[in-house]
Amino acid sequence: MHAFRSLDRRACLQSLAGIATAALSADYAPSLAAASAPPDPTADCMILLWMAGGMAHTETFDPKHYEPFSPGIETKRVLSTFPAIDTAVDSIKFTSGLEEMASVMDQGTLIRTFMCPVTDAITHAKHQYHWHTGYFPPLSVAAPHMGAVMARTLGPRNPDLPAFIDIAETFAESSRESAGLRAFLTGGFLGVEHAPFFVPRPEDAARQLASQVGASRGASRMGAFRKLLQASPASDLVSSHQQESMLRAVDQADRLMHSSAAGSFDLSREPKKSYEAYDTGPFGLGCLLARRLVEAGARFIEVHTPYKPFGYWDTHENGHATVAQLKRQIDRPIAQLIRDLRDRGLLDRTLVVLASEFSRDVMLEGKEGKFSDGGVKQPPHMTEPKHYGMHAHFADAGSVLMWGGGIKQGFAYGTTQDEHPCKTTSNPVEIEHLHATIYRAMGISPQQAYEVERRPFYVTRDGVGRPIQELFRSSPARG
Amino acid sequence: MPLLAQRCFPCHGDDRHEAGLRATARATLLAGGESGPAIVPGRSEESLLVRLASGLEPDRRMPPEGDPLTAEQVAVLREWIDQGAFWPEAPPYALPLRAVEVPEGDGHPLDRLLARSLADQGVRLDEVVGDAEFARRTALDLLGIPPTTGQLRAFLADESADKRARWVDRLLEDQENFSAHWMTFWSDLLRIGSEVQSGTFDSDATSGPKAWLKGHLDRNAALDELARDMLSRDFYAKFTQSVAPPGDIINAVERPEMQLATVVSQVFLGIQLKCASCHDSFVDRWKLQDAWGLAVAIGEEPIEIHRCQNATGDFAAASFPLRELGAIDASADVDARRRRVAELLTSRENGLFARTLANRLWARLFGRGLIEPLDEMMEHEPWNAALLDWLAGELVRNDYDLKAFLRLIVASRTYQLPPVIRQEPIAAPSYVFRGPELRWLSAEQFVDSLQALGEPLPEDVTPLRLSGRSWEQKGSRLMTMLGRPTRDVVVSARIEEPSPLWALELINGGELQELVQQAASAQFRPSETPEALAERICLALLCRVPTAQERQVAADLLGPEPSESALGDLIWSWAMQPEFQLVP
Repeated sequence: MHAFRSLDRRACLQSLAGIATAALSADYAPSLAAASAPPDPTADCMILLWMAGGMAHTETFDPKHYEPFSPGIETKRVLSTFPAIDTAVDSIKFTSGLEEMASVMDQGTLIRTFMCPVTDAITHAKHQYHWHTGYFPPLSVAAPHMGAVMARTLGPRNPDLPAFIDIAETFAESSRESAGLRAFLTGGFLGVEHAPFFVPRPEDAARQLASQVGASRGASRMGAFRKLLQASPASDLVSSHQQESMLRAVDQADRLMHSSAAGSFDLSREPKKSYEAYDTGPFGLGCLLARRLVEAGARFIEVHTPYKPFGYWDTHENGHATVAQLKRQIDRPIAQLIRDLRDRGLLDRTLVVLASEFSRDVMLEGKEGKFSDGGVKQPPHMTEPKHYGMHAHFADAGSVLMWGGGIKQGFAYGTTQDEHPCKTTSNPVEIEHLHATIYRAMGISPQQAYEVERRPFYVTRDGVGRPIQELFRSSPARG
Repeated sequence: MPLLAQRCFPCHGDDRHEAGLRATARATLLAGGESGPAIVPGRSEESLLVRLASGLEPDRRMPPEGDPLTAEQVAVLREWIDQGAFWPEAPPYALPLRAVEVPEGDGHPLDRLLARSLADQGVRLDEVVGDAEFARRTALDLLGIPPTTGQLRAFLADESADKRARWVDRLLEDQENFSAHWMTFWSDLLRIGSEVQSGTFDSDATSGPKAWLKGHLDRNAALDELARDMLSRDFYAKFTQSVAPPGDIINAVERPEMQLATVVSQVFLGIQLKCASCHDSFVDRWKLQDAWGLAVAIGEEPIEIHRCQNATGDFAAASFPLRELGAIDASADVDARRRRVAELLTSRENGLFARTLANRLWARLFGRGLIEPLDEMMEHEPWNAALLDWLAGELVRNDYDLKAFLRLIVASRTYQLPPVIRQEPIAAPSYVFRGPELRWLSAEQFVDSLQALGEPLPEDVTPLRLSGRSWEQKGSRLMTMLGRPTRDVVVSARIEEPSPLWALELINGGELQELVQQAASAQFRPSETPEALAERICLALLCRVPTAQERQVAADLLGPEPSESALGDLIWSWAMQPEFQLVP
C-alpha cells in the first residue's frame, strides 16, 4: 500500500486556504449605491401573511351588498356572500367570520385598493411571482424574493437565525403551475445564501433543527468531523480560518441547531393556552411560530396559506363555503399574533402585512365575450350553493392589511365602488409603491439596486416605487 | 451612463423625449432639445445638463421628480463632460482566429505558450500534482465521479511513462459516465430540464430536449453539429415546449424564436441579446434590430418589433448579429433561414464561436475563463489573447470534438499544476494565471460521488456503473443548496458558496443522510476490522489512505464492533471535509 501516500501537504494547505478565500469571491451581484440614502427604518422585521390563490376583497375586508343565498337569486346582485360586521374602527367594516381580526383593526391600516396589473393571462404563478419580487416572469434574470432582498440588504437580525424564513408552504402540488412557486421562493440571482429557510410544517419545526440522527449521534459525528478536520495535514491552517466560509457556515448551522434561538422553533415550549389560541391548522401554528421567531430576532418571515390550484383561496366554485372555512383558519391566529406582538412591545418595530396576488369577482373570468378555459361558468341565476361565492380572477381592487412597523393605526386607504364590480375609485395602490412602502419601513431605498449582468436590478421595478407617505404614523422626513 | 439611464432616460429616452431631448446617445445630447445642446464636451460649466441637474436654476431643476442628484453625482457628470463626454462605443472586434505562434521547444504546446508567464510567477511546470490527485481531478473533471479504488490502485501501480495519457484515454472511453457528467454542463447552458417553465419536463427522459442532448453526447457529436442541430426544425419544437410553452407567452420577447435567439447567441457567441430584445442596449453594442433580426431569421412568421413591450410598427428584417459574416435571405423559407443561421454561427470565419466554446471549456477545467464573465466575449480582452486563439484553433482543428479537446488540455502540465486559491474576484482585470483554481464540487459531482459509494465497488479497473445519476433526477433541496440552478435562465457559472442554510442541509437534511446510509449499507462488511473499513472509505472518497491520526478518529467513532450506522457517521464526517468537497 506504499503507493497511497497522504495528500501532498502543500496542495492540502492550499486547498484549505481556498475555503477561506472562497468567501472573498462572492463577487456576484454587487450592491449599487442608490440615488438617495437609505431611509431610517420604522420596522426591524417583517411578517408576510400570504393568502395564496386570490382572496376576494368583497368576501373579506371590503364588504359590499350582502345577498344571502336562495336558489334562483340573480347572480349580479351578489356582491358579498357574508354580511358586514363592525371593526374596532367605526369607519371600517369587515365581513362576518373575521370578528377577531376586526377587533385589532385599531392597530393597523387597511388598503382597499391594491391593483393587480392585468396581462393577457392572469395566472397565479406569475402574479405570485410578481407580488413577491416586483417583476413579471419570465425574466432574463432570476429575480430575488422580497425576503431575499431584505436578507441581502439588511442581513440577519440575530446571527443565529436565518434571515429569511418561509413557513407552511409544502410544495405538495407538483402541477406545472405550482412549480412556478419554486421560482420566486428563492434568493434569485442573490444566491442560495439568501434563499428562504423552509419550514413546511410548523409543528415539525423543532424536529427540523433537531439532529436527524438523534442528539447524541449527531454530536458524536460532528465531533468526528471536527477531529478529522484537525487530523488532516493542514489542521493549523484550518483553525486560523475557522470563521471563514465553509467552516463558518457549519458553525452557524450548528449554532442554529443548538443556540437558544433554536428553542424558538419548538412550539411545544409554548404554554398550552397560547398554543390552542393559534391552533387552527398549519397556518395558525405558522403565525405562532412567526411570533416566536420575531421574539428571537428573525428578519423576514412569510407564512402561507398553501397554494393549490382550485384549492384554498383559489375558489373557482363553492367560494362562500371555502372562504368561510378559510376564515376559521386565519381569523383567530392573526388577531392573536397582533395582540401578542403588541403586548410584548414588539408591534412597533414589526411590520405585519397580509396580502394576496389578486382578488375575485362573482362574474366569469376573462374579457367580455371571451371566456378563459379555466373559468367556471357562472349562470345569470344561482341555482346551486356551489355557485355562491366569488369565482373569477379580479384585478381592479384587492385588500392588503398592514400592522405595526410605523404604519398608521385604525386607518383605511383607498375606496372602492359599492356597485358591481366593486373596483377602485380612489387611491389605487400598485405593487411598486406597496413594495416601496414596505422597503421604506424596513429602511431600504426603493431605488436600492444590485448589479446583475452589468445592469442595475432595482428592488422595486426599475426603481420607480415611491413609498405611500400617508400610510406612516408620522410622515417620515425622507424616503 | 448608469446615472443617465436611471435619472434621465425615463423622460428623455427613446420612447419619451420631453422638451425634444433624448439622453440616450452622445449625438442626441449634443443636438439637445428645445433649450439647446444638453452638453458641451470639455466645458461642464456651460453644459445645460449640469446647470439643471445641480439646481443652479431652481425653476428648472432636473430631474423634476424624486431626489435631486447628490453633489457626488453632479461631480461625476461634470468630470465626464470635462473629459470629453466619452460615450462608450463597442471596441472593434476581429472575428477570424489569429494564427498563433507557439514557442519552439519540447513539451506540450500549451505549456510552451504559458511557460514564460508562469515562470514570471515563480510557477514551475515540473511541479505537477501527484498521481492520486491527478486521478481524482481528471475523473471528477471528465466523468463527474472519483475513480474507484480498483482503478486508482492499478493507476498508482502502473510504472509506464505514458500512464497519465493512458489513464485519461480510459476515462474518456467510459462513455456512460462521460455523457452523464457533461449533461449537467450543457443543461445549465441550454436550459434543458427547466423546472420553472415545465414541471413535467424533468421526468421526461425519453423524448424532448433531454434525450436530444443525451443522444448528442453519447455519440460524441461535434460541438458545431450540436449548435447547428439546435436550429433544426426538430429541436425547435422540443425547445419551445420546454422553455417557452405557448400558454406562458405574455409579451413579445417571450416568443419562442426570441428565446432561442437569445440562448443560442449567449451560449455559442458569448453575447447577450437579452437587453436588446427589449430596447437598444445601454451596456453593449447590440441594438433592438440585432435581437429581432435573429429572432425573425429563425422564426416562422414576420414579427413586429416591440420596444419595451410596445409595438413599434416596424417589422424586423432577418439578420445575423455578426453582420460582417453575411446576410440572410429574408425571402427564403424557414428551414433555409435556420440553416443559414446555423451556417453563419458555425462558419470557420466566425472565430467567436470557437473562442466562446474554448473559453467555456477552459473555465470548466481551470475554474476561471480567459474572458470573464463567460457571456461577455466581445466586451473584454482575454488575459492571454494568443492562448485563447490557440485553444479555439485547436477546437477547430479537432473538428469540434469535445473529447479530443479535453484530452489535449488535460495532457498539459499546465492543467496538472497544483490548485491555486482564488485571490481576485472572478472578472478582476488584475488576474494572473498561476494554475487551475480550486473548485467546489458541483451539486451533481457531490451527490454522484456519494451515490458511487452506494454501489458495489468493483475491485478491478471496470468502470463504475451507477444505477442512477443525479442529472436525471429532479432538483431537490440538497441539490439546490449545492448550487444546481432551476434553469429558468441560461447559467454559465453557478453560485456555489457555503452558507448557513447550505451547512444546515448537509448537517441535518434527509437527502444527504439517505445517501450516506445507502453508502454505509453497501460498504459495510461485518467481518472487516474498523481499520480496514476506514481505509476503504477514505480511499474511495479522497483517493488516499488515512493518516495515523485519522485512523484513530475513525476507530473511536466505529468502535471495536462497527455497525452500519457508525459507518454512516464516518462517511458523513469525511463527506463534510473540505478535502472531499473540492476538486483537487
